[in-house]
Amino acid sequence: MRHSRHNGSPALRRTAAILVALVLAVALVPRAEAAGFVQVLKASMSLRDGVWYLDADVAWSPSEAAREALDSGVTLDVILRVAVSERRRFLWDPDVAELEQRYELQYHALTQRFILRNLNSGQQRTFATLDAALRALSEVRQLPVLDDALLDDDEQYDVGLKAEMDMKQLGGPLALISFLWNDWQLESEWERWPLQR
Amino acid sequence: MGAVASSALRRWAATALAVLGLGMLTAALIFLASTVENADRFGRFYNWIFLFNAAGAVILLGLIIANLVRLVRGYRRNTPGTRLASRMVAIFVGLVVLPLGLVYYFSVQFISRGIDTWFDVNVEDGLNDALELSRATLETRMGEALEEARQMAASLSGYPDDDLPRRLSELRRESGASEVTVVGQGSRIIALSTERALTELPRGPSDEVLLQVRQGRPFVSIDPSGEGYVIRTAAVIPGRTPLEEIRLLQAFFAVPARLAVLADSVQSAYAQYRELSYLRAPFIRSLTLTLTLALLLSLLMAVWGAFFFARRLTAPIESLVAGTRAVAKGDFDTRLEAPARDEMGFLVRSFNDMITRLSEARELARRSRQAVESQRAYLEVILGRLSTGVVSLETDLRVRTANQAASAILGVELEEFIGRPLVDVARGRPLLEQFVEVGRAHLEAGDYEWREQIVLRGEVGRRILMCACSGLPGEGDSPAGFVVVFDDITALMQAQRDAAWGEVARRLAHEIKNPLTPIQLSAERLRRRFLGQMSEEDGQLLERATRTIVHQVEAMKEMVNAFSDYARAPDMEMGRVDLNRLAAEIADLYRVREIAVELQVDLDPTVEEIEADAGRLRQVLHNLIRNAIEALEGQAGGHVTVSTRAGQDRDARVVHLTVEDDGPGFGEDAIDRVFDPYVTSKPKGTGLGLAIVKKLVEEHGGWIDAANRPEGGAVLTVTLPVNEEARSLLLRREARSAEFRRERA
Repeated sequence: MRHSRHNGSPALRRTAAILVALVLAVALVPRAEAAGFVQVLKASMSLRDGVWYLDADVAWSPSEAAREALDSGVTLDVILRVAVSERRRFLWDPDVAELEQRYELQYHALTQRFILRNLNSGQQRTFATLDAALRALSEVRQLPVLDDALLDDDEQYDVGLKAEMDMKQLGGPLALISFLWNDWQLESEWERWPLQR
Repeated sequence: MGAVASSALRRWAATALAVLGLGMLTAALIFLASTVENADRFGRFYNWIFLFNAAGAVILLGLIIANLVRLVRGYRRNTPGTRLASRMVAIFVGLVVLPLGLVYYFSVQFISRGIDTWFDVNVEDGLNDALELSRATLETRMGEALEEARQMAASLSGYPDDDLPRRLSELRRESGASEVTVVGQGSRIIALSTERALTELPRGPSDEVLLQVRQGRPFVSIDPSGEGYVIRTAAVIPGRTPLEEIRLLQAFFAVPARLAVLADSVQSAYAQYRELSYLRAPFIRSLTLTLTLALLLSLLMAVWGAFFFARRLTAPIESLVAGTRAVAKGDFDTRLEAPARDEMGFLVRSFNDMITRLSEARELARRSRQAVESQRAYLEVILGRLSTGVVSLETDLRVRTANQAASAILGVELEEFIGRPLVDVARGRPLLEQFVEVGRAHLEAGDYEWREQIVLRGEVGRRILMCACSGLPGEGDSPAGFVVVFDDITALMQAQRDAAWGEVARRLAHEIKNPLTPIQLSAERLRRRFLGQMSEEDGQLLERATRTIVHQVEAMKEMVNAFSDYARAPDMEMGRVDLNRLAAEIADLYRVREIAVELQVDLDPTVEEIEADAGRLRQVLHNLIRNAIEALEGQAGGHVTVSTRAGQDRDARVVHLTVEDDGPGFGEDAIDRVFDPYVTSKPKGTGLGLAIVKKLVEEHGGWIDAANRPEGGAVLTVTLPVNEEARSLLLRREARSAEFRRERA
């Protein structure tokens, strides 16, 4: 029964090559250029009463698609990711603290107001315009990040901040929409700076 | 055994892997379907499930391509089973593609149309209207609230600060507000009345409120809150004097619970509808994609399954073909691995059984062929060693086989004429011709089983053959051929004759010699006793009579002695003899005047000394020469030639001694018996001369031939071995045939 196995490896190689080509083709499909942007303008950490607080200004400019989606009642998720990592020379930098501040931005058609909900605290504010809501969102003031006691005096630390905006995660086949047609997705680069003590 | 086990293991592993993979893919498909049906159940994993399915599709595609490549390659190379496999795959795929394509087409249509029908214009209008209605209702309420706030603000104009909280509480209760605040410059809260717990911070005026109020317009808005809706109003408290601090009153009114619930319902329905409406296109795309993936996966699974099962089905055929080819090449050790207990398995097992039986049959055939072969070789050896001639013939008398003895006896190399009709071979060969004539006469008469003594007359004398014929077993009564077995019994007959003559001679010597002496003595006594007493006349008579008696008795004695010599010779005295010298010597003895014959000697100088009894050789020469001279008696100018020649008889070195005369030669009838005693054509002689020569020559291990010369006269040739070695070779040869002849006899 040996005979059936001959020339198996070239066929296998060919198949593998085809698979690789397919994967590359999928990976290299150009993503729809998001017209909007999000950028961390400035950020700093300050120590008060043994707790480090974050102050940051983030510029939000959702794409047309995101604005349209918002107007159509789609909820947008806003996430601020803060990470404090220990700086090490040879090894990777381990995260000492990670914080995710999540917001929900929604248009309330009945009252014609934009609702900004802090999912961490449950507080919500309403705005007559989207810009007002975005303005409120762009100012991060005195956000407690971590206890100073967690930090080692002899070590150096870096702080990173990243802002993201995406359509609220939908279930079922709609999940595929946000996965494949993510025109409304915004993501800033990680803004990193050393923790000054 | 190990290879079989490992291949079985591999097959099992492959099957298990295939089943596992297909099972996982099927499960993923079911998950996908389930999430499409109900997003809450596995909605969060939808993307992963989708990706898993997509990866499965890619892997399946890879497998199918690999299979297809192998199939195409096999097709081009004419690999057994490929054509059947391709046909099966094509049928399977055809059977699957058409219904799946139809289902796909209708499903896509259904999804697209179905989803479009959800978003009916009427529904949308209705929802818009409902929203407008709710909004209008709320706006009415907002208007009322604003009016309340204005009135409260107006009533607070110039009101003293110290009584402000109490007044606010009154106003709040009167107006039905949930919270009333008086705010000064810089958003400073001057007074507050609330029905909420005091632990909660009072809500200051927002920038939006301040901006609008600063522009001199009262503010009213409605905010969704956790419990329902809150109407926020703000109005400037009119100052008494222009320089007075500008204060504003902010009042919150809760929307009645019933209204809030209804408004909420309208809002959520509207929001959901708008969201779905907005996502309609990508939703359809997404569903279509999911459906496409499901279809693709099903199709690929079916196609791969087609390949898989086609291969499973054709594998036994492939191995059967390979097995058949191996068997055709003579490899009977091939055993095929039997697949499952289905018809294919039965076929493969039958094939294996057949090969086993074939192999056994072949082994049997080989053994019997070997047996036949060895039997044939055995027979060949026996036939080759036989001194009996054996010739087998076809029914048309073509030579089938002939042994060496047959060729030797008949004087024809029969082995060179195998396949040719014996009648043709015999043409021009008198000995064989006579032989064939006798045989043909029997066979033509339908006598297939016969036995006969045949006398063949040749140039050098008679040959007596004992001949037997048998038919070879054939179909029905007719034989498939004949076997003729014959033996040259000439020598045997001769030996018998010699033996008989020897016996006669011995008896004669014994019986006759004994009375001869008394007869002679008696005759002499008679003469001595009565010669003196008788008259002269009687005396002369007696004298003549007794002399005659004595002479005749002497002659008889001589004759008896000769017989005696013939019957019983003295011991041989072997020595080196120069035959040429001896021949010359003896020839000289006969060159006397009384003999009117010219004796010539032709001696070969290459004849070497031979080992022989000189006395016996001398007698041989005497007898031969005398015999020749006697044959020429009464003939004027006769010639006798004595010649010697060195020669070779097969592997034995011999010398030939020939004595020729130009006399009358031997009679046609007598030539066969010239060496028998008392066979003579001459008036004189005992008739024992040549018989004795023959005996003496044979004692030396040689032989003598008698023949007539073509130009007239007789020729006698003696052949003698040169030495002991040649003699033993000749004797051995003679002994072999003699022994066999005895057995036959």
